[in-house]
Parts: sequence; C-alpha cells; structure tokens
Amino acid sequence: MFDPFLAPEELLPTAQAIARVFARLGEKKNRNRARIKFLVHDLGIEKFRALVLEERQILPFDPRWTEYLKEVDHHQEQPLKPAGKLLETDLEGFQQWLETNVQSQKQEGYAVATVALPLGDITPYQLRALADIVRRFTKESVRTTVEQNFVIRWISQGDLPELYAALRAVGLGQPGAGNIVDIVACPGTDTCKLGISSSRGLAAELRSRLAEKSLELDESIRNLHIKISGCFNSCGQHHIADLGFYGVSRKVGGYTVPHFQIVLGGEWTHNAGSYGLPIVAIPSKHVPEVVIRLSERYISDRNKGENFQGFIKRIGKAEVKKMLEDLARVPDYQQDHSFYSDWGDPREYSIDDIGKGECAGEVVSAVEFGLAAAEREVFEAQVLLENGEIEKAGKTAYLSMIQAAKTLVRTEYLDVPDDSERVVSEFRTRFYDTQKFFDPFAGGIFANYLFAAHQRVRPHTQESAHHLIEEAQLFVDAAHSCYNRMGTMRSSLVKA
Amino acid sequence: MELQHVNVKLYLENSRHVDLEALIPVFHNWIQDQICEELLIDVADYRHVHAGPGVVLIGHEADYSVDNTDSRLGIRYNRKAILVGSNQSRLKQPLRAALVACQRLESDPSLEGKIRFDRREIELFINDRLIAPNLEDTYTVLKPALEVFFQELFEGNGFSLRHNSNPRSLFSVAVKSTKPLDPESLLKKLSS
Ligand code: SF4
Repeated sequence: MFDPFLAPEELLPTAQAIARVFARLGEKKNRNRARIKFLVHDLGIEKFRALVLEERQILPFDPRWTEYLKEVDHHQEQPLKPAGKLLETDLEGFQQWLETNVQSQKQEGYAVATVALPLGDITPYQLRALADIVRRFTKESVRTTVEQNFVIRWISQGDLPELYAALRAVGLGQPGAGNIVDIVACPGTDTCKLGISSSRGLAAELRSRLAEKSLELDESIRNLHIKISGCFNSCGQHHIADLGFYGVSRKVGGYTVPHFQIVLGGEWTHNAGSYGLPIVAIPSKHVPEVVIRLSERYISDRNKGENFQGFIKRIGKAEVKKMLEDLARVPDYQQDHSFYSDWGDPREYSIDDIGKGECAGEVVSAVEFGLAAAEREVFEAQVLLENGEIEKAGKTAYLSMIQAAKTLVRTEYLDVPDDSERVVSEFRTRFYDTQKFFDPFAGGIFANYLFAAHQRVRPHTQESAHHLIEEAQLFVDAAHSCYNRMGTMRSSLVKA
Repeated sequence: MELQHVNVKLYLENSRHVDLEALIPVFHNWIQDQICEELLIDVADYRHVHAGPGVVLIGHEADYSVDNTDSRLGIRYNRKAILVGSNQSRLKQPLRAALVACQRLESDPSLEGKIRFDRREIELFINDRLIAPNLEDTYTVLKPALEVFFQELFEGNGFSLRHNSNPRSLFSVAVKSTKPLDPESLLKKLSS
C-alpha cells in the first residue's frame, strides 16, 4: 500500500507525482513490462514511495488540484422521501426478493435494493423504465456494480413493495442478487477477440440449471459466488470467486476442445481477501457437473459454520482434483461429439492431419504427454504450497515451466538435453526470438515468466510461490495454445 | 427525411410453441453457408433477457433475430448499414430480407414447421432516434410515403397504419392488412 490515508487535497498532486516517477523510470522498451506494478516490484514500495514524495515536493502548485473539491458535496446522494417502515404485504415474490436483494441502510428507515441482471444484460427499454423507476423513488441516482447489477440507494423502506412491483413489471424484479445464480461472466468468445471459451454460454447454462434448483438449494450453497472469464485475463474476476472458471483450450485427437480451468480458494469477501489457484482444466461441457459435485460434497461434508474456502482448504486440493479427475477426460469424438463444441455454439474446430503420419504422430503424442506432465507439476506445486513446503512449491512450479518449454522445443529438436539452462536457451531461440510462442494479444509476456523464474535466486515467500504457481499455470496454458496454433496453421473449420 | 436503419418485424402466429434454442444451430448454418446477402458473423443468445432480443444472428450490414421485444415474438430484420436509393427502395430491402428469412425458417426441417408468421401484420421501426424521433410530427412526415409503399405492395388490398406513439419506444408503425398476405407475391413485387 502506498498510503493508508491521503487527504482529498493531496489526491491529484500525488497521482501526478506517481505518473512523473513512472514516466522517468518505468519500462520503455518492453511493452509487456510497461506497467507501474513492475516498477514498484523492481524498486520496492519503500523506495518507490520515497521517490514519489520527493517528486511531490518539487511539483509547482496547480489550483486545479483542489478546485473540483467544492463540487464534491453536490454529488452526495440524498433521499427523495422521508424514512419509512416496511408494512406487511402479500405481493407475490416480494419476500424472496426482499431477502436476497435488499439491505437496510445505516440510516434508519432506508434500504439499498439491488436490481439483478441475468448475465449483466438489460435492454434499452428496461433501462428507460429503470430510469423512470429510479426517479420515482430516489433523487435520480443509481449505481452499477462489479457484479454486473444495479444498486439503488436511499429507498424509503415503506416504498419497497411498490419498488418491487415496478421493477417486476419490466422484468427487473429477479431475486437472487449476489447468490449462486447471479453469475458474473465476461463477454468471452461472444464479442471479445481474446476469448478462448464461451464464458457467457457457460454462465447461461449454469444459470438455467441452478435457477431451477435455487429455491431448494442448501442455504450455504445459495450464497456461493460463481465468476467466469473467457481467458486468463480475468475480466470475469474468476480469481476471487468461490467457484471461478477461465477459458483455455486443449487439443484432443486433432480437435480443439474448449475447456475451463477450475479456480478454487478465491475469496470474494474481505475486499477480495485471497486469490484462488487453478486446479484442473475441465472440458466446457463437464463444468456444470463440476459445480454440482463440489456443491454436493460441500453440503454433505462441511463442518458447522465452515465457509467454502475453509472447506476446500481442509479437504485439500489433491482430494478435490481426485474428485474431478474423471470429468477432465474428454470422450472420443465418435463416442460423444458434443464435447467438441462450446456452450451455445455448435461449431467444431478440427486440426486436420495433425496426429496422422509417422514421425509427426509420435511427436504429437509426445507433446500432449509432455504438456500434461507439466500441468501435473503445477498442481503438485499447489499441493506443496498447501502443505507449507514453500521453497519446494516454488521450485516445482519453475520445473513445470521447464517441462512445458522442453516439450515445445522437442517438436523441433527431439534430443534436447534435460539441463534447464539449455532448455531455456533453446526455447528462447526457437520460440521467443521467432515469436512463435507469442500470444496474439499478450505477446511474449508468458515467456517472460519463464525467463524471470529461471533467473530467480531469492528464496520464496508464501506470496512469491503462490504468484509463481499462477504464472506457471499461465505458461503451461500458453504452451498448449502455442501447440494449438502450430496445428491451426493446418486447421479447418468443420461444419457441425 | 432520409430513411435509414429500418427494421422490419413479422410476428409469429404460434409463438407459445416456438423453442428459441432450436434457432441457434439454424442460424449457425446460415453463417456457414453464408446464405444471406449480408456478411453473417455470429449468433448471440439473449433468451434470458425479459422481453429482449431473443436469438440474434449478428451480421455486418444487418442482424436477423427472432425477437421478443414487448413480449411478442417475431422475425426481425435490423438494417445497420446505410442504404442508397430512394426511401421506397430503402423500405423494400429490409422487408424483402425479413420475408426471405421467414420463408427459410418456415421451411427449415429442423424447426418442424413450428415457425409460422402472421400474414396480416408487418411492423416497421426506424432504429435511429436522430433520424426519426418518435413524435407525431415524424409520423405526419412519413405517413404519405408509407401509404404509397403499401398501396403499391398490397395491390389494392385494404390495410391500416398505426403509429406507436409511446415516446419511450422507437418510432414504429404497424401495418395491418385486411386479407392474409401471400409472401411469394410480396417478394415478387419487392424484387421488381
Ligand atoms: S477475460 Fe479474456 S475473454 Fe473475457 S473479456 Fe477479458 S480478455 Fe476478453
């Protein structure tokens, strides 16, 4: 943390000083490292803070730093109506909505109501209606939330039934805000060109399966958070969900099969108190089963008062992986080809002629085998970390990257020696310098994770090992994508 | 007033029996076969949205959808790209595209004849509040051109026009014919 408290007058000059320090010392050549976080990491927060404060001292005064503060109070929300008391009503659905979507404000007689939007979607007609409703009950203010909902504050509690009726009339009175059916998903393959798997398709599927059951779901399950990203970029905030998913692809028998990494251990509460780690990649079509299996086990085996993170921690990631292992397998195409397309998208992608032929066939299976081994090592690193073997966890995560790099190098240089120095150097020449390993959008960032881990000499802390495991998983995922791209040069889109 | 971004919606007759999910693979097939004159790109599923756009086939120049706005299902053609020519030809193009889409869906074997559109009603929207604010004045200006267009198209069959004057909605006019319309002859007329 830079500073736990900053006076409002200092906000803009401090931001300006930070920007100037970054402009002077930040990375200029490598775009992937042109971020303040890398500068802070390299200098350490103490040094960075000292430089910023020095810079702040020499900044010439600018009246605009404080002029806007006069206006700030005008933006304070005020109630439209006097505080009220909620009277009994038999309005259909109201009680359920009240329980899940309404919270009392600190100010007596007022409440905050959440408008839950399925997958964060709303039509222009609903938006116009919402604007009218907000004007009717508040002083024209409404907020959007990171959970892809709207929040209306300062509702006089006596108005809640009327508010609910007005929202319901335009299809905005859905209960379940912030619970298991209120799934957050990024646009994914629907509209984002970085998307790997259909996050919205999966969210819609989970939503409809869970919505049917929502009322009878155990209380503890009902309040779990599910968040889904279409790729590693985390726009769906999967890393801070009870059950998080992010899209990856895996090649199976010459087809690209959409998968999701299952991320567990994240914490939504306590201001995103902890980040989860990926456990295993599961084909998209098996993900609903993952949710069902994990929730059922949680209901039956949890200790009294134990939350989901605590439960996962107690039973251990190795046990969780064992529970899900059969779901990680993709049935043969002939047996069930539904696994070869994504939710809401019947198209299948094949990588023709890969795996056929002589030497190529051998190399292909060796690649799949090698990447699976790398993935196992990342997982092993997680288990070691869970058991408190921090140094070993960091080392294993690093070795998993070496394994993945070696696997790729072997597609060109079959007898590459095992020595990690040589693997890294061959990988650099063959896959980094040639940009073959570059993600089409993120560039060489994942390769840099390997190079940094290879150079690391400092002992690991809990945090650095956790971080390295995350990077190792991303590196292995990137190796899978690189291998897919190598095949995709010969790929064809086949009709479902 | 230059008409652009015209939408045409043809309502479904038996909407209770329509399974919108079945449209997803149908629209994907349209993309793969590129059977429309527009460049078709993707399918978006909005079935979860109350009175929303349903299932949408996104195209570059236009979108096709089975749309549920106002909780009434209908096949909707949403022209996005600018059309050149007269206003009459700018009305012809989207109506023709919507009718062709209806015929395709009605005859698609995978939909088992469950899609059938109402042959008495056509709704036109202008999806551009700048060109056509939903005001009485806009209707006054456009009404004569619409009357000429439909008189010619329906070849003397009676019809009525109704403007939806709700200022919250897009400018739209519902055209109701006194007799059921024959899509084939409408298409022939629109192609001439
Ligand atoms: S997480 Fe990936 S797919 Fe999703 S919006 Fe972000 S970049 Fe796009």
